[in-house]
Amino acid sequence: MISEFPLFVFTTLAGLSAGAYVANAAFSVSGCGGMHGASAGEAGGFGGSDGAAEAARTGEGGASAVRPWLLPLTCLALLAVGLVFLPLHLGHPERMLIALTQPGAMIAQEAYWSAALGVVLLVDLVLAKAKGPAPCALRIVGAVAALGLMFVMANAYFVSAGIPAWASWQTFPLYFFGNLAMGAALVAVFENGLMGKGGFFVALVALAALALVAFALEAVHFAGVGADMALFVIAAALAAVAIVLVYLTKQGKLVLRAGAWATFACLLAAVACARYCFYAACVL
Amino acid sequence: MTRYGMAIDLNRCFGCQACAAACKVANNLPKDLNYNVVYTKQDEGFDDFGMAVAKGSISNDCAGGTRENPVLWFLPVQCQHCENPSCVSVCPTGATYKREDGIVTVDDSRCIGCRSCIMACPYEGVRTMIESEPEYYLDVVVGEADAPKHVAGTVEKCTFCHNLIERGEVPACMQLCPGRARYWGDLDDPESEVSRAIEGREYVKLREDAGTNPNVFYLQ
Repeated sequence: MISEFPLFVFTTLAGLSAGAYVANAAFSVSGCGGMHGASAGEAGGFGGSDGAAEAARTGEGGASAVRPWLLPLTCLALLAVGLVFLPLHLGHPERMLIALTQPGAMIAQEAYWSAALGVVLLVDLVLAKAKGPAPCALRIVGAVAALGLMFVMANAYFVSAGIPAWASWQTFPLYFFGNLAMGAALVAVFENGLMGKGGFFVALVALAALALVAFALEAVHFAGVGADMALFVIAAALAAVAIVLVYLTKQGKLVLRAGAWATFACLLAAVACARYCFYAACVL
Repeated sequence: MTRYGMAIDLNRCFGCQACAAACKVANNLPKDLNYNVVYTKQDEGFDDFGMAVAKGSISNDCAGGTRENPVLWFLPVQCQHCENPSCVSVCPTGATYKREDGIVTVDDSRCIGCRSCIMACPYEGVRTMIESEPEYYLDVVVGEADAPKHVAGTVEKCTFCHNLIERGEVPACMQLCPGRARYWGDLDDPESEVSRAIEGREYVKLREDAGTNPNVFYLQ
C-alpha cells in the first residue's frame, strides 16, 4: 500500500463530494427554494416544493427531486468519511488541532475549506429535509467552498518542491477536472433524467474530456521526471469509456439509470487510478 | 545580528565520512536517521546529490566518467538553514521555525508528523520522519548529554548543533573533519571564519532556483 493512502482516500472522497456539489449548484438538480425556485424550474430543474410534487407525480425527476435531502446527505457523508482518513497520515493525530492555528499551512487550509463546505452541506440537508430544496444562494456559497477546497487540495501538492512529480501546474487540472467530472456523474446518478438533457450532456462530456486531457498531461509530466505513470494511462482510457457511455445514454442505447451508474463508476475508477498513481510518486 | 552559516570547501573534502559519523554520535542518532550525508558524485553537476551508503547505495567510493576521465568528488548535504525556508511556511503547527540566529529547527513537542516540511523542502533527504519507536545500534546512550530527543511520529533534521554553539563550541561535523573542509560562524560578521572563507571564492548554493537562499555555501 502507498504511504499516502489516507490522503488518497481523503482527496478522492472529499473531491467527489465537492465536485458533486458544484455540479448540483450549476444544474440546480432538484430546483432551488426561495425566490429563485421558478427560474430554476425553467432552467430544467424542478422548482421548489411544487416541482418536487410534479416530479413525484410524473416519476421523471429521479431521487433528488423527490428527496432533495439525499444529495447533500451523500455529499456530507463522503466529506465526513474523507475527513476521518485525513489525520491518519499524521505521526501525531492527537496534535492535529494545533494545526488549525496556522492559517498559512496547507493542512489547515484544507480543514478550513472542508469545514466551510461541511457547514453548507449540513444547512442544505436540514433545509431540504424541512422545507424542500435549499435556496440557490446557499448552493452558490457551497459551490464556492467546494471550489476553494479543490484549489487548496491541489495547491498543497503544487508547493511540494521536494517531490518533482507533484510540484507542477499539471496538478491543478488533475484535481479540478477529476473532481468535477466524477461529481457531475454522481449528480446524474441522483437525477437520471439529466443524462438525456442537452446542457448536462455537453457539460458532462466536456468535463470527462478535460479530465482525460488532465490525466494525459500528468502522465507526460510523470514520465518526464522518471515517475511511474501507467495508472494515468488507464485513468485516461476509463475517462474515454465514460464519454462513450454518456453518448450512448444520450442516444437512448442505454437505459438512463444504467447509463448514469456506469458513467459514474467509470469516472470514479478513473480518478481513483489517477490519484493512486499520483500519491505513489511520494516516497519519503 | 547573528546569522549562522557554514561553508564547505569541495576541493578539500575527500569523502572520509568523519563529519557524518561525528554527527551521528554527537546527536545519539537512531538507526536510519542521518542529519548529515556525504554523497559520492559521479558527474559534474549539482542537479542530483549522487549516491551514499547511508541512502541505500552499496558503495561510497565508485568513480563515474570514463577510464581516461574519471569523475569522483564528494558532496556533504545537511539542512541548508535557508534564509527563506519553505519548510517553515508550510508547517501546520509552527513546530518548524527559524530562530533569530538563523538556525531552522523543529520543536518535537509541536510536530504532528504530517511531513509537509519534507515535501516542501527542495533538498531531498535532509529530513527524516521517525515512523516508529527509534532503534539504536548500541544499548547505551552516546553523544552529548543535551543531544536532541528522538520522538516517534515526528520529523528531525540537522540542528546546526545549537546545543553545542550555545556553549561556545562549533557543530560536531566541524570538530572531526580531517580535511578542514568546513567553516562555520556568523555570516553577518565579516571577521568570522565562514565569512573569510567565502570571501573571494566561487561558491554554489544548492537549488537556488527554489528561492530558499541557503546559508550553506559550497566552495569550488
